[in-house]
Amino acid sequence: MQTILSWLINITLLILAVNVFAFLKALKYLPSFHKWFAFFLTTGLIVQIFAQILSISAINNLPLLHFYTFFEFIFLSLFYQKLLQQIPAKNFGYFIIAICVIIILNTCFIQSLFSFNSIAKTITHAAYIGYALFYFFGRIKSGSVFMNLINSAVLIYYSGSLFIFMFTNILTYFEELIPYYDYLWISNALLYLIFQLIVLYGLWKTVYRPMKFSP
Amino acid sequence: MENGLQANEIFTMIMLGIVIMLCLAVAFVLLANRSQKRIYREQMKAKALQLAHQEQLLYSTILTQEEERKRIAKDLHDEIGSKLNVINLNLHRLRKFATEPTVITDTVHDLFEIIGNTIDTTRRISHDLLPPTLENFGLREAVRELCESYPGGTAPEVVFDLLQDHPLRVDKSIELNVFRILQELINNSIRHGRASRIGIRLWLKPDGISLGYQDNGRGFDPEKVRENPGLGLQNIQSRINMIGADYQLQSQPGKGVQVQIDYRIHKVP
Repeated sequence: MQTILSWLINITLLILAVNVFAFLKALKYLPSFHKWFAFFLTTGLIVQIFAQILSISAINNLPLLHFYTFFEFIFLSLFYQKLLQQIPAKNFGYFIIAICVIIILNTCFIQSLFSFNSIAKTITHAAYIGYALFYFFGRIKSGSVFMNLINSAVLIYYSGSLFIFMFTNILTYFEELIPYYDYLWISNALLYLIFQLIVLYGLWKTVYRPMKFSP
Repeated sequence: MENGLQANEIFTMIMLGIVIMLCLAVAFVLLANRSQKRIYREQMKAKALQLAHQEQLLYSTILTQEEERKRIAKDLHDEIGSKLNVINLNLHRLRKFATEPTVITDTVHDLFEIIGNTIDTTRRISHDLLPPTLENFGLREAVRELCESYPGGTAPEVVFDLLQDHPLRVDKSIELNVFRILQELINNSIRHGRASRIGIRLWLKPDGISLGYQDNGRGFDPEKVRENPGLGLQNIQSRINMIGADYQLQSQPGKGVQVQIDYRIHKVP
């Protein structure tokens, strides 16, 4: 089971690295707010690499998840702030600040740096699902193919993984469930792989393929 | 064992939750994708229709231009050309028989008459191309003159009603287009509608022009005409689009035609 998980993680890491490189290279052809999505992917790549190193060294890598949750939320929220123009920017700003405060308070007082931050993860995942739904409702007439793919990736990954992050801490209370624990993380790794593949497909279809065939 | 069963149930519920959420997300994505494709198809269809309509208008504009050129060529050939030929013949006659005073007097008299006619014809052709009244005195006077050129009797009676809030002079091209639209409407009323009475109400407002037009002609079914509009109506539509005015046409068989055209100065054509 662990082998499947590590294979999935390694493949995803590879595709994530390709995506980061491709996205950063494609930034000059994309509207400027896409830089937030590039930052989000880059943060994901850096955190994944460090998490792997810490894991191999048998050091608790959960503090990285706390940092990642915080920066992931900021970058994805700033990305969606530009997309969801039906929500006033000021209100969106207040929402981002409020959730950031909750993430920090959760780490400081409820779920420490060395434990799994399931509360913060659940809240942020619910927010991303909300962003994706808002986007589909608001921009259905004017959304680009690339944005629709990115948004589909966000909706599928975060909807699928919401329950995984929500119940991870609960599962640890049941010794009988430990053999099943890996299934959840395999599911998450699989969903994250699908997420990265959709982003890669979006980049190829809307940025790189048109460039290849343009005169 | 009991504890194990409870744990299994929890795990099953979590997995079920994950699957349900995932299915909902995928269903939503597919639904949104389908809706977007449908909207895109509708937009494409509307664009194609608009393009076809524009092509039709362009075609009618070109056709109208060609008709106008043909008419000018005919006028020049039949009216000016033939008169210049007669002048030429008379001048030859004058040169040949210049010794006979009676012939000279008669020929010079004829020449003056033909030259006078040619000047009148030239003025008429030039007037048709660009009415000098419109150029010098604006739309109000040009419409008044146009209406007065239909004195009643065998020609239809044209009643002109002017409402003026403001001594407005809009851009000359706008005035020319409104004037041409009016000419086309009158032409249609006479040729197709067989109207005996035409009413024109021109309202020069501080912010634009309103033109009301009605006749007592045979009228037509607007739906049928919309499917297959004549050159005249297409020409009107083209000019309306060109100046960015609002246009309403109402008609019924046997009940004449009513047209309302509103042009607002702030509109960008």
